[in-house]
Amino acid sequence: MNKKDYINAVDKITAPQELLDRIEARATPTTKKRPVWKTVTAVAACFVAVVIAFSGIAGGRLKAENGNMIVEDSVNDEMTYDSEHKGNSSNLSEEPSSDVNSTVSSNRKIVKTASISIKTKSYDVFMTELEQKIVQYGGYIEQSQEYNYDNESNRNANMDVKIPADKLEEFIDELALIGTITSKTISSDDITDSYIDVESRINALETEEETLLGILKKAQNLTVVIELQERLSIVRTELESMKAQKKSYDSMVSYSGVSLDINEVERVVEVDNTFFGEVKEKLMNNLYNLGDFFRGLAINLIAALPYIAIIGVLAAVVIIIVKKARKR
Amino acid sequence: MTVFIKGKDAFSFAFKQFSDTVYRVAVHNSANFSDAEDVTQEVFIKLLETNKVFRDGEHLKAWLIRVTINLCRDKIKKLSRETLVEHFASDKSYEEKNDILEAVKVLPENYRNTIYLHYYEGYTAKEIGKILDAKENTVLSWLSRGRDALRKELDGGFDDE
Repeated sequence: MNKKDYINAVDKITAPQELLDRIEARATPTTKKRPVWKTVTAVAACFVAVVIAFSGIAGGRLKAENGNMIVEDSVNDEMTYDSEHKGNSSNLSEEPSSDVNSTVSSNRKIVKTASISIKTKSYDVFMTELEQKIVQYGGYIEQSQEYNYDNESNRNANMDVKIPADKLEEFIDELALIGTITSKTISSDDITDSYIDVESRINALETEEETLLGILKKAQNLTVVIELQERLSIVRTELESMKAQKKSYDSMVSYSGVSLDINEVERVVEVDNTFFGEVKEKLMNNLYNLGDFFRGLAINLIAALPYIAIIGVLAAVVIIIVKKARKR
Repeated sequence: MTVFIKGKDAFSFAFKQFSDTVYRVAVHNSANFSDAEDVTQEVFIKLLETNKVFRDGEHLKAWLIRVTINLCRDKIKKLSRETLVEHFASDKSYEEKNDILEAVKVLPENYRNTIYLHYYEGYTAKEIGKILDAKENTVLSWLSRGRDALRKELDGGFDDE
């Protein structure tokens, strides 16, 4: 085995044509995909408009007939009535079209995720409050890890939390109240296409299952029965996995994942953008660091005492010996 | 002369020139071929969405490799959290394919990417350092450690010639 074998092996890995086609299709979504969606909405809107216009006209006729019955010679009135009504119906036809749009968008399956970094001075209080908030919002902790670096005041936790999607923003706002958010990323992912795929796959599989069961009831030949049952078990397995997939999509849509990075700090620096504010902040930082430095120095000096004692004793011995040697 | 590429041009250029490269990097960093395909597709979608201007083909290529590695990392993280069982069940599809690739794939991430970038793509340690955001010496040590690991793993060793 050597380098050449590796190169040969890698040479054999080439992007499948089917994948390339898929990517190329994705490259032109603005010209290909949108119009289909738009035409569907447009057609639906037109349909609704036509239906309403028709019912409007029909209604108009009816009323007009009524009007005719009461005042027979008010042709002019009828004319104005009609034109008014036409205006009305065109107004009506616009509203439903926007309605159609909104129902389409509310049916879209959006997976929201957020990742947030938070600093806090009082770690323990923060953690208990955080847990309360999570429960209060109907969420749960998926996993949580806590680390404790060198000393007590520098703890760090990573948490994955699930929060009902519609309460995500509220929850983040609440977090800002109990800690200091240093970074926040919210992203959403539209999985409508894959969701619809799974749904239609489930439908197709269920139909196939029914058909197979129907044939199985009538079948008399043993080999046919066995073949049918084999096929049936394949279909059922697939159906199960598709249903599981759909379930996981559902939970992804209804619960947003929030990954929290919680850091305990000794002091939270408030941002103050004025000149003196910045000077003050830098000065405080430096003083703080200086204090830290002296503290460290003192600690290290005291800690090093045993060594210093040994070195001192050795030095004393050497000096005495040297002095004695000189006297001679 | 520097020719700047961006947007659609960058996409069609990358699609023609580097789709195999992206796929290969993805294969090196994914549990199975179908994940690698997904990542490849995501990389190109990212390229379509980005407003980045690329200095030249090499710059574009380095960017693609970096994005691919990062996306693979994200994917593995996500998979191991969400569908642990499924993820490892489909792991086997590689094994029969070829031993040497499998041996490279089980190396730690940095080793395996260094091996790929150096031996297959012909990048120098310095260039690899830029792509993987590491010092040249670090890359050199990854390379030699990766090579040592492969030598132990494979019967005939892994020699340079």
